[in-house]
This record gives sequence, structure tokens and C-alpha cells, in this order.
Amino acid sequence: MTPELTALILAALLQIAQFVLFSVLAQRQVGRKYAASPRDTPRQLTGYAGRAQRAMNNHFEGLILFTIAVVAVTYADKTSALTVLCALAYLGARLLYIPAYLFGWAPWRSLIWVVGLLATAVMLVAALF
Amino acid sequence: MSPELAALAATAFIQLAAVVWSQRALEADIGHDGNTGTREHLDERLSEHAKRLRRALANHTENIGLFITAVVLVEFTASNGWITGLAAWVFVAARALYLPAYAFGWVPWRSVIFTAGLLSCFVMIIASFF
Repeated sequence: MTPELTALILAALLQIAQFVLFSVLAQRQVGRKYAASPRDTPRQLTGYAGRAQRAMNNHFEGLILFTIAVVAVTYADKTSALTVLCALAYLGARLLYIPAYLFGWAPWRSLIWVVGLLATAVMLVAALF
Repeated sequence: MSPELAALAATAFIQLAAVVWSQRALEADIGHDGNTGTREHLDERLSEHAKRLRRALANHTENIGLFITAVVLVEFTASNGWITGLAAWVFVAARALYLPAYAFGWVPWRSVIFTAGLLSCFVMIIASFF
């Protein structure tokens, strides 16, 4: 298994952990009953629960691009020290992104997000050459 | 084609079914012109039924990403086995049931069904380590 695939596994597990975190915080706020209901009356999550939800939704978006990048470099056989470094940078950035959102580290959260996106972009470009 | 890849194909068809079902509900509320229009103040014009289907579709879109990741990992690491095949098809069954569970308000089964789908992905990702 390549280091990029290991990073992808860990990123996917991180997303499941993010879901658990969001679920616990959200149910503490709106209650189990509302969470299980069809949620016909929308309820806006606030505080930590809302931040955890937004952080999770953001990683859903980022993870799809990262999956494409890992699949592309692996399939095209373009893995290198650079792509390993990028994969690790992505993983590190997405890990840091969670406390950055929860504790409102501004503007660091945005910078951390950019690191994740750039790492993905570099991997995609590396897959081309 | 491995059972996991076949399950991925089936999941794409569930996504298609979710789109078609939610679109039909949407057009029942706001008509074809409303659908092809720019959808200003959409939420106020939709029925509960249509909004449930749209939430179910959004949830499916999120989870299909995680499932793609899980299938790719299993395939690339050649970790296919009866556990990953079973997990992949449990995911398909869970996501197929999730649509009526949301539309018809099966409480708390919708949450149980969702958890089954998420756990399936989890099992597949863990399996790709070994």
C-alpha cells in the first residue's frame, strides 16, 4: 500500500470521526427525538454543534477532491516524494481544521483550508506529468 | 467486476432514483417552469414531502463520497473478501431504504438505517488496512 492510500484511509476515518463528533454535539443541542424525526421544521445548530456541522460538511467537499487526486496519482503511477508530502499535508491540514473551526481560530482556519486545497491541487497536477 | 464495484454501480442508480423521486415531488409543488427557473425562495414554495426528499438526496450525496473512498481503498489494496462484499451490499440496501424512511418518516428507523450504511463504510475502510 502506498503512503497516499494510507493517507486516504486516515482521511476517510477522520470524516467518520467528524460525523460522530457532530452527531454527539448536535443531539446534545436538539435532542435525540428531533434528530431521529424527519426534521420538517428546520433547526439551525448554534455554537460548537453548528461549527462541527460546518467543519464536517466542508470536509465532505474536500475529501471528494482528495480521493480523485489519490486515485489519479496511484492509477497513473505518478507517486513520488512530492505526492507523499502533499498527502500528509492534506491529512495534517484536515486534522487541524477541526479545532480551528471549533475554537474559532481566525484567520488560521482559512489558511489551513488553503493548505489542504493546495496539497490536493499539486497532487492532481503531478498526476498529469 | 468485484461485488464491491457492482455495489458502487448500484449506489449510483440509487442516487439516480433519489434525483428522479425528489424532482417529481418538486415539480408537483412548483411545476416544470418553477423547476427550470432560478428557484428563488424555493423552501417557502415546497411541501414537506418534497423537502424531505431533497434532504434525503443531499444526505445520499454526502455518503456516496465516503462509499467511493471505501470501495477505491478496498480495490486498490486488494482487500476484497466476503466481509467487504457483504458490507458493500449492506450499504446499498441501507441507502435504498433510506429514501422511503425519510419520505414516510420512519422514526427511529431512518437513523438506524443511516448508521448501518455508515458502519458498512467504516468496516470496508478498516478492512483495507489488512
